[in-house]
Amino acid sequence: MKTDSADAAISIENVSKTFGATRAVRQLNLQVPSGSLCGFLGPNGAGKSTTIRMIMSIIYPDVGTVKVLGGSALKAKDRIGYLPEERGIYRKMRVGEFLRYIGQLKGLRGADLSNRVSDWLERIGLPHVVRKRCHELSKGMQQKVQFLAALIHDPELLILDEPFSGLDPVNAALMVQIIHDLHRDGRTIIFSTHVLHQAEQLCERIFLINHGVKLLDATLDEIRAEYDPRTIVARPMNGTVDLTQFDGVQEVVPSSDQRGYEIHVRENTDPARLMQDMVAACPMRSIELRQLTLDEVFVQLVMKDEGEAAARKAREELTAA
Amino acid sequence: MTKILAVAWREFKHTALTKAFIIGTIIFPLLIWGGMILVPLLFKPTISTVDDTLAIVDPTGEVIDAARIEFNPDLFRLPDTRERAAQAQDMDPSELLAEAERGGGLVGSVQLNIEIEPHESDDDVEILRNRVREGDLIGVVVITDNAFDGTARDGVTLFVATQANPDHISAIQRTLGKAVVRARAERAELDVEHMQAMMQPPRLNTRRLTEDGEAAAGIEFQKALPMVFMILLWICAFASGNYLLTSTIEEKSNKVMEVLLSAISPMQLMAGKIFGQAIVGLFTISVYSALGVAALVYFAMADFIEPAMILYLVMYFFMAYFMVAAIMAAIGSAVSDLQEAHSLVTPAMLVLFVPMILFVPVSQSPNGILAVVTSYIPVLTPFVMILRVTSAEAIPLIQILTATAVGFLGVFIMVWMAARIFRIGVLMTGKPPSPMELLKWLRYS
Repeated sequence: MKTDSADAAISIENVSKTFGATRAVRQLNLQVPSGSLCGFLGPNGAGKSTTIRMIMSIIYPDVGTVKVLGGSALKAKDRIGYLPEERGIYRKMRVGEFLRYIGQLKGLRGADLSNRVSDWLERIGLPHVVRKRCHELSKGMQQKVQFLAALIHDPELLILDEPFSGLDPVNAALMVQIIHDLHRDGRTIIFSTHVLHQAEQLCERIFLINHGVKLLDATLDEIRAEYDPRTIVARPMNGTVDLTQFDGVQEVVPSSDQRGYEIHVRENTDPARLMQDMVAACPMRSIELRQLTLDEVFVQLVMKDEGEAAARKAREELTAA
Repeated sequence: MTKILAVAWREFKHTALTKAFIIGTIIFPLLIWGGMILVPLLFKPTISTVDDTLAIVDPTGEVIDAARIEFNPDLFRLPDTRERAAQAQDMDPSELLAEAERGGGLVGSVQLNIEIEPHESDDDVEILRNRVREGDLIGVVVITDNAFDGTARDGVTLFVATQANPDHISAIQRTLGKAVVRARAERAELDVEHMQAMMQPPRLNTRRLTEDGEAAAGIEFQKALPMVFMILLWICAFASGNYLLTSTIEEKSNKVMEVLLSAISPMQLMAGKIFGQAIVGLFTISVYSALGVAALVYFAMADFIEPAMILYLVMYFFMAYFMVAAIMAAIGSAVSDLQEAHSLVTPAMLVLFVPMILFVPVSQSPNGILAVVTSYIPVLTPFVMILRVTSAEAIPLIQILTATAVGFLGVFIMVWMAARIFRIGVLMTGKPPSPMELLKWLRYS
């Protein structure tokens, strides 16, 4: 799916950025459709935060153009919410005062601002902390307050840099819920993460970059269609059955949970037909065509682009993350 | 503009409306003033009494007679006390007595209760010296004829023990000297009391003529006035500059800088911070000035302060503050913590301490070459000019105008340079830049 730059909430064209000898971003082109929920993915050091800082006009590209909400982010700062990767907070400030201050910097005033602060604190389950100083909060609470600071002014565009980093599952789920709600209300949301499966669960569109170069720019459906899965996960009723006997089977290995087998299908074989043959020949507890994860897509892309060694390294990085 | 004001208000509120600031800025000076009253009480002189015997070997017996008068404990408190009492002709006897009771108001006062042991023959000198060594006598004085020769510097020898108290010996020396002078005068048949009274210089009662009448001269205060103004300017500019440095570093170390920059530009942030701390400085200088003026009114010396001086103070405060603030904002943006800041702040501080060295020569000669030349060095301009314009000498108007213009031009350049460093520095992390790297940042577009 291609997005016309006129309809894009964010339009990045031929952007490059270098820090000393490090080329952080190279010839990057991106179009983030208005109203979309996009994941900006890549391993650590891929260039995600640099790109986001250029989108926010905190730093500027060496070459290329960045348009946000139709113009420069400098003129649209009040319409953008931003949660940086490195969370910032005034430790000695009271929570309510901190949120009001950020709201003021985003152009809000008066009773409306105070109401928003109390409403949002209520919504994230922290109405009692409004008079507390920020350093008195737990780390999880501080992260929620920082998240509120990014959206207190009800932005049209929300940019979240590693929003789930360090969050416990309960708070992560709350944040996911809020992101979904905002998206339903028509906000454009882009978030970066190096944990690819998080994006897989949340996003409708994925941008994947590595070493400052874009590897992938597509919707999840497009990715699934393009990267056709060729692995069947089967759990036969009879554990001794020989699955290699079927035509089209390239390799059979025990599944990672040791409760079945992963069957790799040859290139010229239809996985659906092979599954039918297997079910007809031997009773199965379960059999399914495994969905390709973004991690696997990423590794495949790296292998295609940079070779086996780079792919192995990318796989290790993803495992470590 | 409203965003700049929001930043400025936060800076002001979190600097000036804190306990630390209130204690440091308002209560601390009051404590110092209280201390100025308390310290003299703590150091109230204690009288050290000497009850001892002094042997005088005087073949003429004239110095012995004079010494009996000068060492008379009823007359003697301190040598200075009698001199001052003689000068204080307009003091009544009760005041004189009170003065004497306080020991003359001097630290280390000595009350001499000395009994004179007369010896007319010098045969006993060696015996007397041994008695001094044994502690039987505080000292022995040997008088020869030369003592009566006003042109001779010898003629009186005082022997004392090695372990003798120097304050006591000093008091004995001075009193003994007076006794010899008295003996000389009596030998010349002069009226000693009359002569001593005539020799006292008069206490000049200098009065300043004001528009409404007259007031105390306050010459010492008038001399100190430029320094008071300069110190006030220096303290306020540096305190605010320092607050700016620490608050910028805090925002970087708290990682809140990026949140702020997502809402406002680096220039808006720097402008708001500098403006907010300027108000803090102005508030501080106002408090100190008000306390100073109140004190002057209390001591009936308010007419020393002309309204123009206050205007100069405010104008040069802004010049000094913006100069210091630009330096501190640039340094604060470039480092990650206070420790890193020290290496960059130290050279800047060395330059900014120069006004302290210039105080004496500029005060003594406000129109001298040094004063005029340093007035045109922008980092020194506000401090040198406040010394000059508050001094008693008239400064040529053209120099005031041109030096002030040069100073503000310097401020403009410094703020411009700081702004270029600030917008890059606030996003930098890791190793702090060297001064050369800071200069490189100036060239970045």
